[in-house]
Amino acid sequence: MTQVENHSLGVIRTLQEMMVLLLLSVGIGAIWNCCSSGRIDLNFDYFPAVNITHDEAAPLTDEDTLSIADWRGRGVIPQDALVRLLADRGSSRQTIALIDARKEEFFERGHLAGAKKLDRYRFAQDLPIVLPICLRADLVVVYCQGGACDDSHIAGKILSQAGVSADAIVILEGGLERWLENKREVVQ
Amino acid sequence: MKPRVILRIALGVYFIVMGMIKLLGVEQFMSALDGYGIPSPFPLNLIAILIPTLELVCGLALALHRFWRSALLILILLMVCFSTVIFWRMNAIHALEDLPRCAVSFDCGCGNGVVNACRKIAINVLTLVLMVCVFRTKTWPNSLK
Repeated sequence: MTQVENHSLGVIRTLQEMMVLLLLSVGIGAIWNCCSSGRIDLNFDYFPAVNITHDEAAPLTDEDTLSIADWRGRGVIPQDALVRLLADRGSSRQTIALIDARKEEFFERGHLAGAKKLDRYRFAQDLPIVLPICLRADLVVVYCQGGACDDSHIAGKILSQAGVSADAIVILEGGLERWLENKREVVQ
Repeated sequence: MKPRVILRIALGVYFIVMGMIKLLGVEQFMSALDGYGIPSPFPLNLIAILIPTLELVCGLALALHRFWRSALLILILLMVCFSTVIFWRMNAIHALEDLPRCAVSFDCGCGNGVVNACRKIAINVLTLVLMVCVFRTKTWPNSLK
């Protein structure tokens, strides 16, 4: 065997081995993804472009008189207004769905009473539970940890893509951080 | 045991650990990949699963001395790609935020959270040098042993 042939065979064998390793990785990756609890859906957009324009709710003078349905289409709901709506909801026929857009482990540490989780990385298991509630609700209040967190907006987009009216979805101003700053109650 | 063998096994274990960290924290890894502007959903989601498993499989091959040179070649290619995109993003942040290059820190998706970009590139270059040292022999690719 000549030097050139030997050289070519060595390169070819290396390329074959690389292909084997690549295929093995694809196989292990597929098995891992099927078996793990945090299964990634290859065709699901976990990072949709969201238009974050409502970081703060516009000041309202008639806030105290607004009903649940009046908050539709406003984009953001202040914390005081949500507290009042939640306190009054027994006397109203309109319903509110509370959606926690944080990761599962944060939800388990503490969330608003009655909230359902919609972790975007677990949407395949969360959405079937959350969607019927959101479709029935007159107002869907989505919250995340707070600050500039975009999880609420992404959860809102997931819900609107799943058929919930975009008008019905509002983001809780300040998120859970402000909720806790105001010494409001969370449940585990 | 020869130093090269020890180095090969150490590199194998390093990549197994790095692969496992990424696989177990795949959400954080995806978020870091999104920062590089990789198109979502399919390319980003596929890369998020494939890169950690590739690191894991190649790390195992390296440590167990099976197809180790091919595994090392894949890891060298990966490391060159990683370092290039980290350098590219470091420059983008430097231009955007008017920060000195070596003051730029971000989550590079390397499994360690937010890191200083300069330090990460230096570590990557050192790892690359070690990998090339392990890879280099007088006989390859002629050796069919």
